[in-house]
Amino acid sequence: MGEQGGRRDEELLVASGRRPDRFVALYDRMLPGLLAYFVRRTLDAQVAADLTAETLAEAYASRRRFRDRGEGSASAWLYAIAAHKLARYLRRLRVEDAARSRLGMERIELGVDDVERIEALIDFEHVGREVRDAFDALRQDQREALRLRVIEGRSYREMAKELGCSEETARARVSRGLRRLAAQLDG
Amino acid sequence: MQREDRERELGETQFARELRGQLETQASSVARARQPRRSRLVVALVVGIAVAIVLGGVALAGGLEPLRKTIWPTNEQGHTYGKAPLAKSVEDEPDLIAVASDGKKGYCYKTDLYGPAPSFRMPPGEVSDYNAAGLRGHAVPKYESDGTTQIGVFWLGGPGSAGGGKSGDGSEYEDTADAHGTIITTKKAADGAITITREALDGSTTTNAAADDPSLLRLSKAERPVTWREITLWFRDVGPTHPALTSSEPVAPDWLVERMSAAAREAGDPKATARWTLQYRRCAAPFEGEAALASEEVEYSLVWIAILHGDFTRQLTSAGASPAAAGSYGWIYLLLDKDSHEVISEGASATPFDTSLFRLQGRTALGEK
Repeated sequence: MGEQGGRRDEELLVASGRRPDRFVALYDRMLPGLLAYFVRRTLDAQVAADLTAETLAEAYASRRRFRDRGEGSASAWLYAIAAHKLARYLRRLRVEDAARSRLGMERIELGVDDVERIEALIDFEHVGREVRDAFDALRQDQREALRLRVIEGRSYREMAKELGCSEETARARVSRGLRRLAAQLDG
Repeated sequence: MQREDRERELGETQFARELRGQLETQASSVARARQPRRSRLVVALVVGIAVAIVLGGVALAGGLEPLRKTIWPTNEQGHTYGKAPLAKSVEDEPDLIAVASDGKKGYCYKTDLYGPAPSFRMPPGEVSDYNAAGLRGHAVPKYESDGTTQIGVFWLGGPGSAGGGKSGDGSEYEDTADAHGTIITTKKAADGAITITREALDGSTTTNAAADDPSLLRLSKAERPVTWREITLWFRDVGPTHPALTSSEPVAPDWLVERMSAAAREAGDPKATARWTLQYRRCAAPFEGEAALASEEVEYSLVWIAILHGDFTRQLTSAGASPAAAGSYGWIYLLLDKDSHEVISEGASATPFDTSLFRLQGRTALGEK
């Protein structure tokens, strides 16, 4: 944990208001868990990386708003931002870049090695069984939308043509399907 | 390898190093440039307390699990109102959602903002028209928190909005609309080639490589965007108000001018002026009436909407309007089928027309040809 090793997460986050370098120390501690949180919920390494970067950019920009409420409050604060970003992603199926844009941070494209490393976190066999059960329980239109989007990797434009609906409706079906899947897998 | 070890290894990825580098750059630039001012700290403290109160609830509710419901204020109609980002989920959002436009805060009904989206199966050919109409945008009423006092409109879609994604062939694209209803698609093919396609209201299309694009060529080298992302953001955020954007105001197609001229002649003023656009039929409901929207298919069908202003006193007074009102505000509308161009609805009114509801093209002076 380097020179910041003895300090609590909350102390680092509060101190980062005046000393932004403290945020980098906090980053080292939080990054693995945060990236794992996103990859297990999105099952997509690049999306997980984008959400991680956007969450940390938002946290960095808002760090002075944090108040130390005791052990664990820094983590709760960061994951509340993460949960909000994830919810917005599941609703729109697009990772926002507002916080990164404000800070002038560029999107980072993952290399093949990184993708493999991140995807290694996913226990595909176990996930596969659970996903299959949850998938079967979805509504027909949502199953179809997820098949096209997730399995076949179609764009929303292509999906809309295939399904005979608008891009918005296709997005909504995928989003609702994913939310329902996520709820069942979490449960 | 244990799950914890795999997780720890994420800190050693190239992604982790690059993101760390970006945050270090932020930190060092802030440390160099900024001395916190007292007023900023006071504002940050106030905002921080507000956020901490909200997030404190999250922590109390079990750390990582956010609260399921937000307690919203309620107006006299029993409708909740507030800011959508404070909601814990889409379902939790209030009935009236805070918006800001034209420098004025207000609230729009969630039902106006989000839908209802059409649920019927659309013919493939109509899907892109439907999405294009969404990008061109239309307005919804903006109210005070009471939900009844209208204080303006809020635009959904329109210049500055965008939609896009990744195609199965590996290309990335983004669509946006300019002020004249032209849909601009910036696309990066799998081999990195960047093209810009413009589809005008009349359906005519042009495609240019980014290096040959007339809008971008007008920019100085220093301000010219280079990467696909930069080009996309330029068309979305800068282009709509930048003088270099060459998409000129469209000229009404000849067939439309003929239809509008015939209607103007019949209504008594062949030299009327006309404005027009291509939109969902539901956008015409304020003057055509909700009763015309017999089904979702009709509601979301694309129609040419033409609004003609002129001296229609004769027609309007025969329909019962006072001569003064008919002379001052007379206007007639035409709705025409997108493909057959046949008139499917028409009417007249002696009350002022709220032009803020549409992004109409024109003004086309009829009777000049």
